[in-house]
Amino acid sequence: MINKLKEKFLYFDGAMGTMLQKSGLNIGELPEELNILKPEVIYNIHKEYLNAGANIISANTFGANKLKLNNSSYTVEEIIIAGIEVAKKSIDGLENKYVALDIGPTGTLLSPLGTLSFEDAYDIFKEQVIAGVKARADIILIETMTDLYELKAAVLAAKENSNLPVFCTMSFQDNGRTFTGTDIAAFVSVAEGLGVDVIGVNCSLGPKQLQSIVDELIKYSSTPIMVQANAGLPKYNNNITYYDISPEEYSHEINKMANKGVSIFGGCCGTTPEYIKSIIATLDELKPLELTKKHFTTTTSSSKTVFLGDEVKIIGERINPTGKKRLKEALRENNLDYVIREAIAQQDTGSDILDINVGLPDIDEKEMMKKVISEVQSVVSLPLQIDSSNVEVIETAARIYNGKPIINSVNGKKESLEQILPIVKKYGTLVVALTLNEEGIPKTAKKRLEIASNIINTAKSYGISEENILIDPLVLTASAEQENVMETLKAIPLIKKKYNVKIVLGTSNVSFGLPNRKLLNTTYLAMALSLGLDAPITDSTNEALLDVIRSYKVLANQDIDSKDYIRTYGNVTTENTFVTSNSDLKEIIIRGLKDEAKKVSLELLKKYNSIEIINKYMIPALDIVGGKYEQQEIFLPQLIRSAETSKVVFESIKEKLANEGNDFVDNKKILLATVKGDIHDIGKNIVKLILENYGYKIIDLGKDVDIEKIVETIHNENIHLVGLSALMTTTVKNMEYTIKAIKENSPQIKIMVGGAVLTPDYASKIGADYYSKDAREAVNIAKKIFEN
Amino acid sequence: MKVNHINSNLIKININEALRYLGYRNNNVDVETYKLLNESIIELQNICEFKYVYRIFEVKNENNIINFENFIKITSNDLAKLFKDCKKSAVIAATIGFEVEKRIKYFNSTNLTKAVIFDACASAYIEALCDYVESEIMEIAAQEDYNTTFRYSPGYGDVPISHQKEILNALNAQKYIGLSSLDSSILVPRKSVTAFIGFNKGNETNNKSCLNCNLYNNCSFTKKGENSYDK
Repeated sequence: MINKLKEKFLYFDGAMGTMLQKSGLNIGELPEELNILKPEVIYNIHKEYLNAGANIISANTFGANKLKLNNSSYTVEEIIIAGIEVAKKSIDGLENKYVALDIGPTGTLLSPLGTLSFEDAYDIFKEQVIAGVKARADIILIETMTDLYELKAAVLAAKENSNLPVFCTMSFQDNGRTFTGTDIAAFVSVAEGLGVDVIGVNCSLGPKQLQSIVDELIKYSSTPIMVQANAGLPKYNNNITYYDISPEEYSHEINKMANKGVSIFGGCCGTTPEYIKSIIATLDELKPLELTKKHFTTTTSSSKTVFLGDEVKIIGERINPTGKKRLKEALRENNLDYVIREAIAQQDTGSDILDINVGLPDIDEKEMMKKVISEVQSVVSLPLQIDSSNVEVIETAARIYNGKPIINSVNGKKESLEQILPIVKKYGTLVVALTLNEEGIPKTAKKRLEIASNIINTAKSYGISEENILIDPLVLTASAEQENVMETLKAIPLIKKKYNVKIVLGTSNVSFGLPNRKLLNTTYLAMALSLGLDAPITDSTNEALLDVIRSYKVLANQDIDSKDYIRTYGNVTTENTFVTSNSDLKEIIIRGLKDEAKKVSLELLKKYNSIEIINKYMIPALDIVGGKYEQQEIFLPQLIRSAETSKVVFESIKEKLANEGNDFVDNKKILLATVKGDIHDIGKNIVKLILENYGYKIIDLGKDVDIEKIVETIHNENIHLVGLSALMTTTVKNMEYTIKAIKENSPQIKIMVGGAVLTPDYASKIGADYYSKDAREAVNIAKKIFEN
Repeated sequence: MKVNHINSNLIKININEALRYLGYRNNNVDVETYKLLNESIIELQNICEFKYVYRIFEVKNENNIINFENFIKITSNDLAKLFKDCKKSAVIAATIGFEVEKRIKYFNSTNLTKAVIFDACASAYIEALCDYVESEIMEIAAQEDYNTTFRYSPGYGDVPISHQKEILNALNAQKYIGLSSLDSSILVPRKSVTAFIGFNKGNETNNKSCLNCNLYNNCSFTKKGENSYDK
């Protein structure tokens, strides 16, 4: 069928919903049930579209998933089989007609935006695919997706459970993004990577507004493109709902799209057989254009696409525990706040991609990698590079990653190629390829090229194209192998001349063991860039390295008109000219002067020990702030600001202790969590911040937390007090179940609860020991528990 | 049914509304909070995607069951009372989009003070969008010689919040404005609202009243001797 596209356009049908409404049926909320209840109505609609000339009939299965059919008396399988059967019946005896299993969104959101796990979404789609295959559908159409992550789950389910061609469309707003923020380039990168057969857009807009989106699709896609536009957006006037684009206007726009390279058409909301007829009449004389093959090297998150090659991109290296004491500690303690702060700091200083390595001998690397990727992706929009030496970790991460990641790394060893390349192919990722093999790191540039060639050719045999490979020619340390340092750099132009691959390089090892490392690092980086390095793996929080990159971009004509350069260096003023009028730490905390807190506390730490500072300045200040809050002299924002200021002081103390080789003793542990099903966490975060300031050690399990996870953590971490939060009447139920489970497993544990819908009565009814009306109250409760 | 995405300059918020969410009443606001408020409002104007969909249903109101053309059926004394003389009802869903959700998350990790203030301003924005939609509905009602009831959302009174999913389905809200709900009926993106507005022929308009709200006994505003609606 796809091969026929060279000769002829393919035509889908138009809207089902619009036709059902026209049929005058009172359809209620589950139109898919009609496949069983009124198959003749569905049959007639299919027939109308076939008579209009459609080649592909979408079965009435758009919403036939476990979640949407929750209240139905029919199963997913029953409804899908009935839907495909009636569609099959409608094409019976006709030639060149096909039936598509139509799969729409689940109707809820995947975690971390929502609460549905990626694996559960996959299972929901899998059930649909299996039913569709059983009913002998010809095509799988995954359509109207707005969440790239959900799309990935659906495509994987289709590919892993069928051999059918997969068509997939997302729906975009006029700003060129889906509702959840995915742009066309990211969509194409991910869908093509996953190996879909047709890629396209549908719904949301009328054909006219879709033109610019189609242009973008054509710019990036090497895969056949389909368009199913709405007949405009529904409008309401004089008691009538109507769509304002006529079939003629509609097909006029479609004609333009066909001339740009779109080859498959159909209709979405508001379209009827008349529209399909009109499209076919308009395109009758035309032949589809062949799409040219595109050669972009892209990595994406769900909302950001980074193109490698046009200009230097920075791969941030800081999330890697090797040689980093604080990060090691944070990972062991499950303290993802620290990891997220590192990610944000790199994003804010100009990293374009972040390398993620969480390999430590004494942690479950796979689980940690999943968690870190999910958390980092929920806050930072940059694409990520999955960095691990464990194949299983890499595969799991590539699967649950939202977007098109980079895998770091494969190398020239046979075993590595055999293990890593199938993952790269299956999930459509980029891969960093190290020029080493069984014989180690070669001495010469020429030998590096040979290994690169071998990797590239082997990758091609797996169906991986050059543009998805990033070669790392491996830096040597000048103090150890000075005579070969230049060989790495010489390899860059050698490799680039022969192949359309990009070059990455972790540059800072060059200076290891020598004084003034900054000087060597910056010089080496400048040399590598001028020879064609596309993406240094480096530290964007390091100003000296950024200086090199910014100036290189000017000289290489990448920073056009030197805009970034001038913005950065044009009016450099000395920072912090603000003179502190107040050096009293107590006053600084009360007034919430975050910027001054660190400097003053470092001064004080020269004179006093940490306990003195906490008892003499912090606690009294916090008590005063708390009192003022209770008296309504100050309000929530000021309370939080003081607490954040106090946290700065705390961090300084901890840092000093760590430098002196001491640990801050915090054995007063409190577990906090927003209960299962609930995703509100600002309130919980405020409580956490305030409690931390009073020296409590907070184990924060986040939001939407499984009951078992809470019970297990209490047991493993030796917790004395648990704080649970829920904001909704519907999730307070889960709070009750959580309390019950905790009390059954650890009867001695005290539990405090809070959240908008709770009252003291209700709290005690569901078995909580304390009701905490706000963060201040939580401190009083904690004092009571730990002072007894 | 109507779907609309509107320009941000049509929606203006009342800064006092945001302050009220933060617990301020007629108190002086400190300079730093005021600065963050203004920053948040400017940022929100740039990232809010104001979108709504509504549909006018015929409603039947029998034995405390309100039926919206079989798409939504709600058993409720409170809504039945409010809709006593209503033959029609607008059902609306409105959102200010995912970008806001993402920003709140970002501030949650970087600057909690700003997160709280930003969140309050975002709440004020979705309220303002609802006011805008409501005024459009009132015009439609007026053209057909109807008055309207006040906006009533799932979760008010005895209307279970679990009706969110039916409402979103009836409006095709996920397809048109990217709005869906979780099992717990939390709307996502969170700064979103669904509501009913009844059309009646009576002269008497039903004012918003705190007594109609099931949060009445535990409302942070009434606790402070203040009302949400009875302004």
